[in-house]
Amino acid sequence: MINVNNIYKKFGSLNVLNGVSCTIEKGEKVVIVGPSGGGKSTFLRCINLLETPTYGEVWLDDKILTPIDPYLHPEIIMASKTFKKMFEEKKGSADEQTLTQNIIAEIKEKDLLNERHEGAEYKKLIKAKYAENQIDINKAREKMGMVFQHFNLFNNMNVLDNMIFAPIKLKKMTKEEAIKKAHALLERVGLVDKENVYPSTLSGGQKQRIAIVRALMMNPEVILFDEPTSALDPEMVGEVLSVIKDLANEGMTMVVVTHEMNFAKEVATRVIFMDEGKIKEEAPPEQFFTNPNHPRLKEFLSKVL
Amino acid sequence: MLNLMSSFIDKVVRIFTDFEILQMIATGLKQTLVISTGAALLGLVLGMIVAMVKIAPKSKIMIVPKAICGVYTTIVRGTPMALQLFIMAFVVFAIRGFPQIIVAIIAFGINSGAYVSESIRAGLLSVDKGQTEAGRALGLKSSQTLFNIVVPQAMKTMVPTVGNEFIALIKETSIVGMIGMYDLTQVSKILAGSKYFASYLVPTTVIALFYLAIVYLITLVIKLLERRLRASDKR
Repeated sequence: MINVNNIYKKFGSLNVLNGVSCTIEKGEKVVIVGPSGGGKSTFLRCINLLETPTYGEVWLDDKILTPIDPYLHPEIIMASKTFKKMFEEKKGSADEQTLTQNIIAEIKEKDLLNERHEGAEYKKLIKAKYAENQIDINKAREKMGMVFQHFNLFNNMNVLDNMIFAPIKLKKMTKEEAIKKAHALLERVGLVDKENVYPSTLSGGQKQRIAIVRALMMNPEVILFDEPTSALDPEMVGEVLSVIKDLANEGMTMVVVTHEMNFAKEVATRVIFMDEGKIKEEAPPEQFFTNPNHPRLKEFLSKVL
Repeated sequence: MLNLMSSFIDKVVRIFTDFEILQMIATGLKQTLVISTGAALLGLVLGMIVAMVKIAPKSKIMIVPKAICGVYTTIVRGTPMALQLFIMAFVVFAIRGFPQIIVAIIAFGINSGAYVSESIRAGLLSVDKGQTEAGRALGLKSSQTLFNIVVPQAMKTMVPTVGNEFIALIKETSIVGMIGMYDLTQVSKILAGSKYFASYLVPTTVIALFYLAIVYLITLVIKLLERRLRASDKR
Protein backbone atom coordinates (compact mmCIF):
# COMPACT_ATOMS: atom_id res chain seq x y z
CA MET A 1 0.00 0.00 0.00
CA ILE A 2 2.78 2.43 0.94
CA ASN A 3 6.00 2.13 -0.94
CA VAL A 4 8.94 4.23 0.15
CA ASN A 5 11.73 4.02 -2.37
CA ASN A 6 15.26 5.02 -1.43
CA ILE A 7 14.52 8.30 0.31
CA TYR A 8 17.15 10.71 1.53
CA LYS A 9 16.48 13.71 3.71
CA LYS A 10 18.98 16.45 4.30
CA PHE A 11 18.51 19.37 6.67
CA GLY A 12 21.27 21.69 5.51
CA SER A 13 24.42 19.65 5.83
CA LEU A 14 22.83 17.15 8.20
CA ASN A 15 21.83 13.87 6.60
CA VAL A 16 18.87 12.57 8.55
CA LEU A 17 17.79 9.84 6.16
CA ASN A 18 20.33 8.00 4.06
CA GLY A 19 18.48 5.85 1.60
CA VAL A 20 15.48 4.26 3.29
CA SER A 21 13.28 1.85 1.37
CA CYS A 22 10.28 0.16 2.86
CA THR A 23 7.01 -1.35 1.71
CA ILE A 24 4.00 -1.44 3.96
CA GLU A 25 1.17 -3.76 2.99
CA LYS A 26 -2.47 -3.41 3.90
CA GLY A 27 -3.19 -4.70 7.40
CA GLU A 28 0.42 -4.58 8.54
CA LYS A 29 1.35 -3.05 11.86
CA VAL A 30 4.86 -1.77 11.46
CA VAL A 31 6.62 -0.55 14.57
CA ILE A 32 9.77 1.53 14.21
CA VAL A 33 12.21 1.70 17.10
CA GLY A 34 15.69 3.09 17.48
CA PRO A 35 17.78 5.67 19.26
CA SER A 36 16.81 9.35 19.22
CA GLY A 37 18.11 11.21 16.21
CA GLY A 38 18.12 8.03 14.17
CA GLY A 39 15.59 9.37 11.68
CA LYS A 40 12.47 7.49 12.83
CA SER A 41 10.18 10.50 13.07
CA THR A 42 11.58 12.10 9.94
CA PHE A 43 10.93 8.88 8.05
CA LEU A 44 7.34 8.81 9.28
CA ARG A 45 6.85 12.45 8.37
CA CYS A 46 8.23 11.79 4.90
CA ILE A 47 5.50 9.20 4.30
CA ASN A 48 2.76 11.84 4.34
CA LEU A 49 5.10 14.53 3.09
CA LEU A 50 5.09 16.73 6.17
CA GLU A 51 8.77 16.64 5.29
CA THR A 52 9.67 16.51 1.62
CA PRO A 53 12.38 13.94 0.95
CA THR A 54 15.47 15.38 -0.72
CA TYR A 55 15.71 12.38 -3.05
CA GLY A 56 13.65 9.27 -3.53
CA GLU A 57 9.99 8.55 -4.04
CA VAL A 58 7.00 7.83 -1.86
CA TRP A 59 4.12 5.91 -3.40
CA LEU A 60 0.65 5.37 -2.03
CA ASP A 61 -0.90 2.45 -3.87
CA ASP A 62 -0.21 3.34 -7.52
CA LYS A 63 0.11 7.08 -6.96
CA ILE A 64 3.30 9.03 -6.41
CA LEU A 65 3.37 11.72 -3.72
CA THR A 66 6.87 13.08 -4.29
CA PRO A 67 8.32 14.38 -7.55
CA ILE A 68 9.80 11.72 -9.84
CA ASP A 69 13.34 10.76 -8.86
CA PRO A 70 15.11 10.08 -12.16
CA TYR A 71 17.72 7.86 -10.53
CA LEU A 72 15.06 5.29 -9.72
CA HIS A 73 13.98 4.87 -13.33
CA PRO A 74 16.55 3.35 -15.72
CA GLU A 75 14.49 4.34 -18.75
CA ILE A 76 14.67 7.98 -17.67
CA ILE A 77 18.42 7.80 -17.12
CA MET A 78 18.79 6.26 -20.55
CA ALA A 79 16.96 9.20 -22.10
CA SER A 80 19.41 11.68 -20.62
CA LYS A 81 22.14 13.40 -22.62
CA THR A 82 24.69 12.39 -20.00
CA PHE A 83 23.91 8.74 -20.56
CA LYS A 84 23.97 9.05 -24.33
CA LYS A 85 27.30 10.83 -24.24
CA MET A 86 28.88 8.24 -21.97
CA PHE A 87 27.43 5.47 -24.10
CA GLU A 88 28.97 6.93 -27.24
CA GLU A 89 32.35 7.24 -25.55
CA LYS A 90 32.48 3.70 -24.26
CA LYS A 91 30.77 1.98 -27.16
CA GLY A 92 32.35 -1.34 -28.01
CA SER A 93 34.17 -1.83 -24.72
CA ALA A 94 31.55 -4.37 -23.66
CA ASP A 95 28.31 -5.79 -24.99
CA GLU A 96 25.49 -3.30 -25.06
CA GLN A 97 23.52 -4.64 -22.15
CA THR A 98 26.33 -4.72 -19.60
CA LEU A 99 27.59 -1.38 -20.83
CA THR A 100 24.15 0.15 -20.28
CA GLN A 101 23.96 -1.30 -16.81
CA ASN A 102 27.44 -0.11 -15.93
CA ILE A 103 26.77 3.40 -17.08
CA ILE A 104 23.48 3.57 -15.20
CA ALA A 105 25.26 2.39 -12.07
CA GLU A 106 27.99 4.96 -12.54
CA ILE A 107 25.53 7.79 -13.09
CA LYS A 108 23.62 6.81 -9.96
CA GLU A 109 26.71 6.53 -7.86
CA LYS A 110 28.32 9.78 -8.94
CA ASP A 111 25.09 11.77 -9.11
CA LEU A 112 25.84 12.83 -12.69
CA LEU A 113 22.40 13.90 -13.84
CA ASN A 114 21.87 17.62 -14.10
CA GLU A 115 18.21 18.52 -14.56
CA ARG A 116 18.98 21.49 -16.81
CA HIS A 117 21.23 19.84 -19.36
CA GLU A 118 19.59 16.53 -20.00
CA GLY A 119 17.54 17.52 -23.01
CA ALA A 120 13.93 17.49 -24.06
CA GLU A 121 13.43 13.73 -24.22
CA TYR A 122 14.50 13.30 -20.62
CA LYS A 123 12.27 16.11 -19.39
CA LYS A 124 9.32 14.86 -21.38
CA LEU A 125 9.68 11.40 -19.91
CA ILE A 126 9.74 12.71 -16.34
CA LYS A 127 6.76 14.93 -17.01
CA ALA A 128 4.77 12.12 -18.57
CA LYS A 129 5.60 9.70 -15.78
CA TYR A 130 4.57 12.25 -13.18
CA ALA A 131 1.36 13.24 -14.94
CA GLU A 132 0.38 9.59 -15.20
CA ASN A 133 0.86 8.79 -11.52
CA GLN A 134 0.53 11.97 -9.54
CA ILE A 135 -2.12 12.63 -6.93
CA ASP A 136 -3.02 15.80 -5.09
CA ILE A 137 -1.11 15.59 -1.81
CA ASN A 138 -4.18 16.72 0.16
CA LYS A 139 -6.23 13.89 -1.30
CA ALA A 140 -3.48 11.45 -0.39
CA ARG A 141 -3.30 12.76 3.15
CA GLU A 142 -7.00 12.13 3.62
CA LYS A 143 -6.14 8.45 3.36
CA MET A 144 -3.27 8.65 5.83
CA GLY A 145 -4.18 9.67 9.35
CA MET A 146 -1.48 11.00 11.61
CA VAL A 147 -1.18 11.13 15.39
CA PHE A 148 1.49 13.39 16.85
CA GLN A 149 3.65 13.25 19.94
CA HIS A 150 2.24 16.55 21.17
CA PHE A 151 -1.36 15.76 20.15
CA ASN A 152 -1.79 19.00 18.20
CA LEU A 153 -5.49 19.33 18.84
CA PHE A 154 -6.79 22.60 17.41
CA ASN A 155 -6.78 24.90 20.44
CA ASN A 156 -9.39 27.24 19.02
CA MET A 157 -12.02 24.52 18.66
CA ASN A 158 -13.83 22.33 21.14
CA VAL A 159 -13.48 18.56 21.01
CA LEU A 160 -16.41 17.99 18.68
CA ASP A 161 -15.29 20.69 16.24
CA ASN A 162 -11.78 19.29 16.30
CA MET A 163 -13.23 16.04 15.04
CA ILE A 164 -15.82 17.23 12.53
CA PHE A 165 -14.03 20.25 11.06
CA ALA A 166 -11.89 18.49 8.45
CA PRO A 167 -14.44 15.90 7.26
CA ILE A 168 -17.06 18.61 6.74
CA LYS A 169 -14.66 21.11 5.19
CA LEU A 170 -13.36 18.48 2.80
CA LYS A 171 -16.89 17.36 2.00
CA LYS A 172 -16.29 13.80 3.14
CA MET A 173 -19.61 13.85 4.97
CA THR A 174 -22.48 16.13 5.95
CA LYS A 175 -22.54 17.81 9.32
CA GLU A 176 -25.15 15.38 10.66
CA GLU A 177 -23.17 12.35 9.53
CA ALA A 178 -19.98 13.80 10.99
CA ILE A 179 -21.57 14.49 14.37
CA LYS A 180 -23.06 11.01 14.46
CA LYS A 181 -19.73 9.43 13.67
CA ALA A 182 -17.95 11.65 16.19
CA HIS A 183 -20.35 10.60 18.92
CA ALA A 184 -19.81 6.93 18.14
CA LEU A 185 -16.04 7.38 18.24
CA LEU A 186 -16.12 9.41 21.45
CA GLU A 187 -18.18 6.68 23.05
CA ARG A 188 -15.63 4.17 21.96
CA VAL A 189 -12.79 5.97 23.74
CA GLY A 190 -14.96 6.84 26.72
CA LEU A 191 -14.96 10.61 26.29
CA VAL A 192 -18.56 11.39 25.34
CA ASP A 193 -18.90 13.92 28.16
CA LYS A 194 -15.97 15.94 26.77
CA GLU A 195 -17.51 16.84 23.43
CA ASN A 196 -18.04 20.52 24.25
CA VAL A 197 -14.88 21.30 26.18
CA TYR A 198 -11.74 22.91 24.80
CA PRO A 199 -8.48 20.94 24.55
CA SER A 200 -6.80 23.03 27.25
CA THR A 201 -9.05 21.40 29.85
CA LEU A 202 -8.08 17.82 28.95
CA SER A 203 -5.32 15.63 30.34
CA GLY A 204 -2.58 14.38 28.03
CA GLY A 205 -4.09 10.94 27.75
CA GLN A 206 -7.49 12.38 26.92
CA LYS A 207 -5.96 14.71 24.33
CA GLN A 208 -4.19 11.85 22.62
CA ARG A 209 -7.32 9.69 22.54
CA ILE A 210 -9.19 12.60 20.93
CA ALA A 211 -6.34 13.05 18.46
CA ILE A 212 -6.64 9.38 17.49
CA VAL A 213 -10.39 9.55 16.92
CA ARG A 214 -9.95 12.82 15.05
CA ALA A 215 -7.71 10.94 12.62
CA LEU A 216 -10.29 8.12 12.43
CA MET A 217 -13.02 10.58 11.42
CA MET A 218 -11.49 10.72 7.93
CA ASN A 219 -11.76 6.93 7.52
CA PRO A 220 -8.06 6.64 6.76
CA GLU A 221 -6.55 3.53 5.21
CA VAL A 222 -3.46 3.81 7.36
CA ILE A 223 -2.55 5.72 10.51
CA LEU A 224 0.92 7.03 11.24
CA PHE A 225 1.73 7.33 14.93
CA ASP A 226 4.65 9.59 15.81
CA GLU A 227 5.69 8.66 19.36
CA PRO A 228 2.07 8.78 20.56
CA THR A 229 2.92 8.15 24.22
CA SER A 230 6.24 9.97 24.62
CA ALA A 231 4.73 13.19 25.97
CA LEU A 232 2.39 11.46 28.44
CA ASP A 233 2.58 10.92 32.16
CA PRO A 234 3.38 7.25 32.80
CA GLU A 235 -0.07 6.53 34.20
CA MET A 236 -1.71 7.74 30.99
CA VAL A 237 0.36 5.65 28.61
CA GLY A 238 -1.82 2.60 29.12
CA GLU A 239 -5.11 4.20 28.15
CA VAL A 240 -3.67 5.49 24.87
CA LEU A 241 -1.89 2.25 24.01
CA SER A 242 -5.07 0.25 24.59
CA VAL A 243 -6.92 2.42 22.07
CA ILE A 244 -4.14 1.82 19.54
CA LYS A 245 -4.18 -1.92 20.27
CA ASP A 246 -7.94 -2.06 19.70
CA LEU A 247 -7.44 -0.38 16.36
CA ALA A 248 -4.72 -2.85 15.47
CA ASN A 249 -6.96 -5.78 16.34
CA GLU A 250 -9.62 -4.41 14.02
CA GLY A 251 -7.16 -4.67 11.17
CA MET A 252 -6.16 -1.02 10.75
CA THR A 253 -2.89 -0.61 8.90
CA MET A 254 -0.48 1.35 11.04
CA VAL A 255 3.06 2.59 11.25
CA VAL A 256 4.11 3.39 14.80
CA VAL A 257 7.26 5.13 15.96
CA THR A 258 7.61 4.39 19.65
CA HIS A 259 9.88 3.65 22.58
CA GLU A 260 7.40 1.20 24.08
CA MET A 261 9.10 -2.14 23.46
CA ASN A 262 6.31 -4.18 25.03
CA PHE A 263 3.84 -2.56 22.69
CA ALA A 264 6.07 -3.49 19.77
CA LYS A 265 6.24 -7.11 20.94
CA GLU A 266 2.50 -7.36 21.39
CA VAL A 267 1.12 -5.51 18.39
CA ALA A 268 3.70 -5.41 15.61
CA THR A 269 3.65 -7.70 12.62
CA ARG A 270 7.06 -6.30 11.75
CA VAL A 271 9.59 -4.29 13.73
CA ILE A 272 12.08 -1.96 12.09
CA PHE A 273 15.26 -0.74 13.74
CA MET A 274 16.45 2.60 12.45
CA ASP A 275 19.75 4.24 13.23
CA GLU A 276 21.90 6.82 11.45
CA GLY A 277 19.15 7.38 8.91
CA LYS A 278 19.05 3.80 7.72
CA ILE A 279 17.00 0.70 8.33
CA LYS A 280 19.49 -1.51 10.14
CA GLU A 281 17.22 -4.44 10.84
CA GLU A 282 13.73 -5.49 9.94
CA ALA A 283 12.06 -8.61 11.32
CA PRO A 284 8.92 -10.07 12.91
CA PRO A 285 8.85 -9.22 16.62
CA GLU A 286 9.74 -12.72 17.91
CA GLN A 287 12.90 -12.80 15.89
CA PHE A 288 13.63 -9.10 16.37
CA PHE A 289 13.70 -9.26 20.15
CA THR A 290 15.04 -12.77 20.76
CA ASN A 291 17.48 -13.13 17.93
CA PRO A 292 18.75 -9.75 16.73
CA ASN A 293 21.49 -9.76 14.10
CA HIS A 294 22.89 -6.28 13.82
CA PRO A 295 25.40 -5.42 16.56
CA ARG A 296 23.96 -1.92 16.92
CA LEU A 297 20.52 -3.43 17.54
CA LYS A 298 21.92 -5.86 20.11
CA GLU A 299 23.46 -2.96 21.95
CA PHE A 300 20.24 -0.95 21.72
CA LEU A 301 18.10 -3.80 23.01
CA SER A 302 20.46 -4.51 25.88
CA LYS A 303 19.95 -0.92 27.01
CA VAL A 304 16.20 -0.64 26.67
CA LEU A 305 14.97 -4.08 27.70
CA MET B 1 -4.70 81.36 44.13
CA LEU B 2 -8.46 81.30 44.31
CA ASN B 3 -8.54 83.88 41.58
CA LEU B 4 -6.37 81.72 39.35
CA MET B 5 -8.58 78.71 39.94
CA SER B 6 -11.75 80.52 39.08
CA SER B 7 -10.24 82.00 35.95
CA PHE B 8 -9.13 78.48 34.91
CA ILE B 9 -12.64 77.13 35.45
CA ASP B 10 -14.16 80.08 33.64
CA LYS B 11 -12.03 79.40 30.63
CA VAL B 12 -12.86 75.69 30.59
CA VAL B 13 -16.55 76.50 30.83
CA ARG B 14 -16.15 78.98 28.01
CA ILE B 15 -14.71 76.28 25.75
CA PHE B 16 -17.69 74.03 26.30
CA THR B 17 -20.31 76.75 26.01
CA ASP B 18 -19.05 78.96 23.23
CA PHE B 19 -20.70 77.65 20.08
CA GLU B 20 -17.92 78.86 17.81
CA ILE B 21 -15.22 77.16 19.84
CA LEU B 22 -17.23 73.95 19.97
CA GLN B 23 -17.59 74.06 16.23
CA MET B 24 -13.84 74.45 15.86
CA ILE B 25 -13.24 71.47 18.11
CA ALA B 26 -15.82 69.41 16.23
CA THR B 27 -14.10 70.13 12.92
CA GLY B 28 -10.70 69.26 14.35
CA LEU B 29 -12.01 66.13 16.02
CA LYS B 30 -13.63 64.97 12.81
CA GLN B 31 -10.39 65.50 10.92
CA THR B 32 -8.39 63.56 13.50
CA LEU B 33 -10.87 60.69 13.53
CA VAL B 34 -11.20 60.48 9.75
CA ILE B 35 -7.43 60.40 9.25
CA SER B 36 -6.92 57.84 12.05
CA THR B 37 -9.71 55.53 10.92
CA GLY B 38 -8.78 55.69 7.27
CA ALA B 39 -5.11 55.14 8.02
CA ALA B 40 -5.90 52.29 10.43
CA LEU B 41 -7.95 50.48 7.79
CA LEU B 42 -5.35 51.04 5.09
CA GLY B 43 -2.62 49.98 7.52
CA LEU B 44 -4.50 46.82 8.44
CA VAL B 45 -4.95 45.80 4.82
CA LEU B 46 -1.32 46.61 3.96
CA GLY B 47 -0.12 44.91 7.12
CA MET B 48 -2.02 41.70 6.35
CA ILE B 49 -0.70 41.54 2.81
CA VAL B 50 2.89 42.21 3.87
CA ALA B 51 2.69 39.70 6.74
CA MET B 52 1.34 37.01 4.40
CA VAL B 53 4.11 37.62 1.91
CA LYS B 54 6.72 37.53 4.65
CA ILE B 55 5.59 34.22 6.16
CA ALA B 56 5.02 32.51 2.80
CA PRO B 57 7.53 29.74 2.15
CA LYS B 58 10.54 30.74 0.09
CA SER B 59 10.08 30.06 -3.60
CA LYS B 60 11.03 31.55 -6.95
CA ILE B 61 7.84 33.56 -7.43
CA MET B 62 8.05 34.99 -3.93
CA ILE B 63 11.59 36.40 -4.20
CA VAL B 64 10.54 39.79 -5.60
CA PRO B 65 7.45 40.33 -3.37
CA LYS B 66 9.48 39.32 -0.30
CA ALA B 67 12.24 41.77 -1.21
CA ILE B 68 9.73 44.59 -1.78
CA CYS B 69 8.06 43.96 1.58
CA GLY B 70 11.43 43.86 3.32
CA VAL B 71 12.48 47.19 1.84
CA TYR B 72 9.08 48.68 2.66
CA THR B 73 9.21 47.88 6.38
CA THR B 74 12.85 48.89 6.63
CA ILE B 75 12.33 52.29 5.05
CA VAL B 76 9.07 53.10 6.82
CA ARG B 77 10.32 52.06 10.24
CA GLY B 78 13.67 53.69 9.71
CA THR B 79 12.53 57.22 8.85
CA PRO B 80 10.56 59.81 10.85
CA MET B 81 6.82 60.02 10.34
CA ALA B 82 6.95 63.78 9.81
CA LEU B 83 9.38 63.32 6.95
CA GLN B 84 7.20 60.65 5.39
CA LEU B 85 4.26 63.03 5.61
CA PHE B 86 6.26 65.79 3.92
CA ILE B 87 7.32 63.48 1.12
CA MET B 88 3.73 62.42 0.52
CA ALA B 89 2.37 65.97 0.65
CA PHE B 90 5.09 67.89 -1.16
CA VAL B 91 6.69 65.32 -3.45
CA VAL B 92 4.43 62.39 -4.31
CA PHE B 93 1.10 64.21 -4.19
CA ALA B 94 2.35 67.70 -4.94
CA ILE B 95 -0.68 68.22 -7.13
CA ARG B 96 -2.68 71.42 -6.91
CA GLY B 97 -6.10 70.78 -5.40
CA PHE B 98 -5.41 67.18 -4.39
CA PRO B 99 -7.40 66.62 -1.15
CA GLN B 100 -5.04 66.82 1.80
CA ILE B 101 -7.06 64.38 3.83
CA ILE B 102 -6.36 61.63 1.29
CA VAL B 103 -2.66 62.50 1.40
CA ALA B 104 -2.70 62.18 5.18
CA ILE B 105 -4.61 58.89 5.15
CA ILE B 106 -2.19 57.39 2.64
CA ALA B 107 0.89 58.64 4.48
CA PHE B 108 -0.25 57.40 7.89
CA GLY B 109 -1.71 54.21 6.40
CA ILE B 110 1.58 53.29 4.76
CA ASN B 111 3.41 54.03 7.99
CA SER B 112 0.99 52.05 10.12
CA GLY B 113 1.04 49.10 7.69
CA ALA B 114 4.72 48.50 8.33
CA TYR B 115 4.24 48.22 12.09
CA VAL B 116 0.98 46.27 11.83
CA SER B 117 2.59 43.77 9.46
CA GLU B 118 5.21 42.97 12.09
CA SER B 119 2.51 42.50 14.74
CA ILE B 120 0.53 40.19 12.48
CA ARG B 121 3.62 38.27 11.50
CA ALA B 122 4.61 37.82 15.14
CA GLY B 123 1.07 36.65 15.90
CA LEU B 124 1.07 34.08 13.12
CA LEU B 125 4.52 32.81 14.15
CA SER B 126 3.42 32.51 17.77
CA VAL B 127 1.06 29.66 16.86
CA ASP B 128 2.74 26.28 17.31
CA LYS B 129 3.82 24.65 14.05
CA GLY B 130 2.09 21.47 15.18
CA GLN B 131 -1.28 23.14 14.63
CA THR B 132 -0.51 23.64 10.95
CA GLU B 133 0.91 20.16 10.65
CA ALA B 134 -2.18 18.62 12.20
CA GLY B 135 -4.39 20.50 9.76
CA ARG B 136 -2.31 19.56 6.74
CA ALA B 137 -2.07 15.93 7.88
CA LEU B 138 -5.87 15.72 7.83
CA GLY B 139 -5.83 16.76 4.18
CA LEU B 140 -6.74 20.44 4.64
CA LYS B 141 -5.20 22.88 2.17
CA SER B 142 -2.67 25.36 3.49
CA SER B 143 -5.13 28.25 3.07
CA GLN B 144 -7.86 26.34 4.92
CA THR B 145 -5.42 25.58 7.73
CA LEU B 146 -4.20 29.16 7.86
CA PHE B 147 -7.59 30.86 8.03
CA ASN B 148 -9.49 28.35 10.17
CA ILE B 149 -6.83 27.19 12.59
CA VAL B 150 -3.78 29.46 12.68
CA VAL B 151 -5.36 32.93 12.29
CA PRO B 152 -8.01 32.48 15.03
CA GLN B 153 -5.26 31.49 17.45
CA ALA B 154 -2.88 34.20 16.27
CA MET B 155 -5.58 36.80 16.99
CA LYS B 156 -4.93 36.41 20.70
CA THR B 157 -1.42 37.79 20.36
CA MET B 158 -2.26 40.10 17.47
CA VAL B 159 -5.15 42.06 18.97
CA PRO B 160 -3.24 43.74 21.84
CA THR B 161 -0.23 44.68 19.71
CA VAL B 162 -2.24 45.84 16.69
CA GLY B 163 -4.48 47.75 19.09
CA ASN B 164 -1.42 49.42 20.54
CA GLU B 165 -0.36 50.41 17.07
CA PHE B 166 -3.75 52.06 16.44
CA ILE B 167 -3.52 53.98 19.67
CA ALA B 168 -0.08 55.24 18.70
CA LEU B 169 -1.43 56.12 15.26
CA ILE B 170 -4.18 58.37 16.63
CA LYS B 171 -1.69 60.41 18.59
CA GLU B 172 0.78 60.45 15.73
CA THR B 173 -1.80 62.17 13.49
CA SER B 174 -1.30 65.30 15.63
CA ILE B 175 1.54 66.28 13.29
CA VAL B 176 -0.73 66.90 10.30
CA GLY B 177 -0.68 70.57 11.23
CA MET B 178 2.81 70.55 9.73
CA ILE B 179 1.33 70.25 6.23
CA GLY B 180 -1.32 72.84 7.03
CA MET B 181 -4.17 70.57 8.04
CA TYR B 182 -6.58 71.41 10.77
CA ASP B 183 -6.92 68.67 13.42
CA LEU B 184 -7.54 68.60 17.17
CA THR B 185 -4.00 69.61 18.04
CA GLN B 186 -4.20 72.58 15.68
CA VAL B 187 -7.41 73.66 17.39
CA SER B 188 -5.59 73.87 20.72
CA LYS B 189 -2.85 75.91 19.12
CA ILE B 190 -5.28 78.36 17.55
CA LEU B 191 -7.27 78.73 20.76
CA ALA B 192 -4.08 79.33 22.71
CA GLY B 193 -3.23 82.18 20.39
CA SER B 194 -6.64 83.79 20.67
CA LYS B 195 -7.20 86.99 22.59
CA TYR B 196 -9.45 85.43 25.20
CA PHE B 197 -7.21 82.53 26.29
CA ALA B 198 -3.81 84.04 25.55
CA SER B 199 -2.17 80.98 27.11
CA TYR B 200 -1.62 77.33 26.23
CA LEU B 201 -2.74 76.07 29.62
CA VAL B 202 -6.48 75.67 29.20
CA PRO B 203 -6.78 74.81 25.48
CA THR B 204 -4.03 72.14 25.60
CA THR B 205 -5.46 70.60 28.77
CA VAL B 206 -8.93 70.34 27.30
CA ILE B 207 -7.74 68.97 23.96
CA ALA B 208 -5.51 66.48 25.78
CA LEU B 209 -8.63 65.23 27.53
CA PHE B 210 -10.23 64.65 24.14
CA TYR B 211 -7.31 62.48 23.02
CA LEU B 212 -7.36 60.68 26.34
CA ALA B 213 -11.06 59.91 25.98
CA ILE B 214 -10.62 58.48 22.47
CA VAL B 215 -7.68 56.33 23.49
CA TYR B 216 -9.46 55.14 26.61
CA LEU B 217 -12.47 54.06 24.56
CA ILE B 218 -10.26 52.11 22.17
CA THR B 219 -8.46 50.46 25.06
CA LEU B 220 -11.80 49.28 26.38
CA VAL B 221 -12.75 47.79 23.02
CA ILE B 222 -9.41 45.98 22.79
CA LYS B 223 -9.86 44.54 26.27
CA LEU B 224 -13.33 43.30 25.40
CA LEU B 225 -12.07 41.70 22.22
CA GLU B 226 -9.21 40.05 24.08
CA ARG B 227 -11.53 38.59 26.66
CA ARG B 228 -13.72 37.07 23.97
CA LEU B 229 -10.72 35.61 22.17
CA ARG B 230 -9.46 33.98 25.34
CA ALA B 231 -12.69 32.06 25.83
CA SER B 232 -11.01 28.84 24.69
CA ASP B 233 -8.31 29.17 27.34
CA LYS B 234 -10.71 28.85 30.25
CA ARG B 235 -10.11 25.87 32.45
